Amino acid sequence: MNDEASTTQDWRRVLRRLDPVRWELPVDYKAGMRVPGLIFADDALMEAMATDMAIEQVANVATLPGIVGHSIAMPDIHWGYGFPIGGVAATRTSDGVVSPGGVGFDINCGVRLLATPLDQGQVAPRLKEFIDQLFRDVPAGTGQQSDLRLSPEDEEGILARGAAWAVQIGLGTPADLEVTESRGSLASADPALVSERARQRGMRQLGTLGSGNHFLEIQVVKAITDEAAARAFGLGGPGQIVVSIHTGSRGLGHQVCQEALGVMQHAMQEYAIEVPDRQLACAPVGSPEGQAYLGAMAAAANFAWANRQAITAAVRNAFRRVLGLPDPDAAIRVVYDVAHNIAKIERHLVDGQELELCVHRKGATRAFPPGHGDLPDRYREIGQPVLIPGDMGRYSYVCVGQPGAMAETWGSSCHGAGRALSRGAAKRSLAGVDIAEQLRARGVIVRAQNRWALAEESSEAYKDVRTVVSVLARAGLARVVAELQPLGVVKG
Amino acid sequence: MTGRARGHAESLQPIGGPIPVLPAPSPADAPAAGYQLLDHTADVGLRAWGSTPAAAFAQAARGMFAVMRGTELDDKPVPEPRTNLAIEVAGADWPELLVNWLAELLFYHQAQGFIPEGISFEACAPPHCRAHLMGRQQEASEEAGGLAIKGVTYHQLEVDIGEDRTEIRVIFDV
Repeated sequence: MNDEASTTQDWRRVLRRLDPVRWELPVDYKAGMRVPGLIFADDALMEAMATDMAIEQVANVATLPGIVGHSIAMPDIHWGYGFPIGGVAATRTSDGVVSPGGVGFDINCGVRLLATPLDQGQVAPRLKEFIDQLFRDVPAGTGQQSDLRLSPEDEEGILARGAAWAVQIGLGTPADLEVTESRGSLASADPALVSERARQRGMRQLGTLGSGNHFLEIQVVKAITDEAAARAFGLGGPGQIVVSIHTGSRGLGHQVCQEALGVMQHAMQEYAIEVPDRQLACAPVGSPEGQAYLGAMAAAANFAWANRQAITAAVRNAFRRVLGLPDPDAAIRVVYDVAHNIAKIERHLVDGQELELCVHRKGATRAFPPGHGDLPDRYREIGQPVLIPGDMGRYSYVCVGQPGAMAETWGSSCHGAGRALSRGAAKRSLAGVDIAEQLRARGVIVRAQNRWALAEESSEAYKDVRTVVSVLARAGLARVVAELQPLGVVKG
Repeated sequence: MTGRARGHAESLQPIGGPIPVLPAPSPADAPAAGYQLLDHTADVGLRAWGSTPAAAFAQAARGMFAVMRGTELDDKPVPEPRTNLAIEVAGADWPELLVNWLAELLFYHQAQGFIPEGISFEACAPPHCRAHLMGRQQEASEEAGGLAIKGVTYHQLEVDIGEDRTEIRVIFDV
């Protein structure tokens, strides 16, 4: 499909290199750009991102009305739809727009990390049994639904209060909420704005992973590079078992986005907004359409937080049943829970003046530095944990937000390794390879619903997340705290 | 791929094999209808074509279900009990009509387990698309082997209407 002229664009001629990890996409690159683009990448990552449409999408995002600063691209960007995946854009709430395409279909897709008191030696003998239990307890794959029966009051609770609802019915503890972004609940949510269709499509998927790149991973801490931050995050040292959960708002969020896209197509005409890609369809933040989207999006975000909280409960339960861990609610602590597909109303300094902004993070997470007022007390002095999964065969990272993120990226960081191969290319290059067997040889047990999806998610399909986090560190956006390695993976 | 009687879902081939068209084409229609999956870094693209917009819309639907099920829809007779579904969507222009058509099928599949086996169009031009679908309910035990589609995007969307050929390109978020 790489038949657009721009994909053969020699981006090095267009981009202005600012330093070894920063590139500027000049504001005059494309008609309609309101701000320049700012791309974080080293030479190798630049080479990778210059082969598809990702940088063109950085330019497209720069045309959004009310955008301030830069159209920002994280080192893991790759070709998305509308926004590049790994894109960050902030618009003024006073006269800027909100774009559902800048959040994506999987509203509040995110990552949660749990720290256990167990070490590898205690888990290894029963690892297979443990992964099998998780595979049974946390439905994965297409079209899976959970066994939860929800009353209308439950539905309202989930959409209005997110993870706080889940904790209230016993799926966790108040301490979990302290270390969840926005305490797992956006007060701006309006359940009445979530259509009956969105509820029909996704409400019963609460407690499920879904398919694609979502996963549940049992990992071991391999190395600690920042002792103080690791201690604050509850990461004791090499050998400790931790768990990563990556999923979002399931069919409910997908339907909210699909419906909002339709509304925005017409709103654009009404407000005389033009964008180079209809997937960037948007409306003024303060317009009825913009407010309706933000209210529904927040409710879907709450669903996602309730979902990750429900899965946390299933994981804790499996630790108790299979590994005999007593009182898992207290023993297994949430390190943090970040959203990486979301639009947040935040206050930031723009040219020395504090402004209210709508920060779109499409495949990007918050990375608030030490001292930020929105951080939980536990992390106020250290900074926010930034969770960056790699691929299921290699490693993932825990980082900590740095002041550079507030200065340059509206307090944002990257969200993962970023794809290197398309899904089709990954499957073709791995034809005949037994991915599960290959992973077993590396010491990783994997349970997945379907082998094709597995090939699409193999290590080969992703960039090396180590290069991605090294760019973050060099750019001063986030610092590496710990490296995690996978031991067991549940995939859709 | 132009003029091939059968669409070819490249990346699904090992499971699905060659892919026949839907609905069963009339002889005159056969050489000109099909679909093909396209590479996109993070998502899945689809090209679909037919002699009329309705034929191309039907092919796009067939391709979307091939992505989700990881296999071709059955050509076997639809088992009893059959489910009938009448769909009507609006769209101010062709891109919006196509997105709404596919998003509607996506909703009925994911919310109610509906799997279409035959489609007949009553109208297929902006501002309306009206179709009658015959199909079946996905069984609870039935494991889909494909990718869950999250949404139908407008990114690089194309609906080219020619005199005797309609070409569609659409990208799904998976």
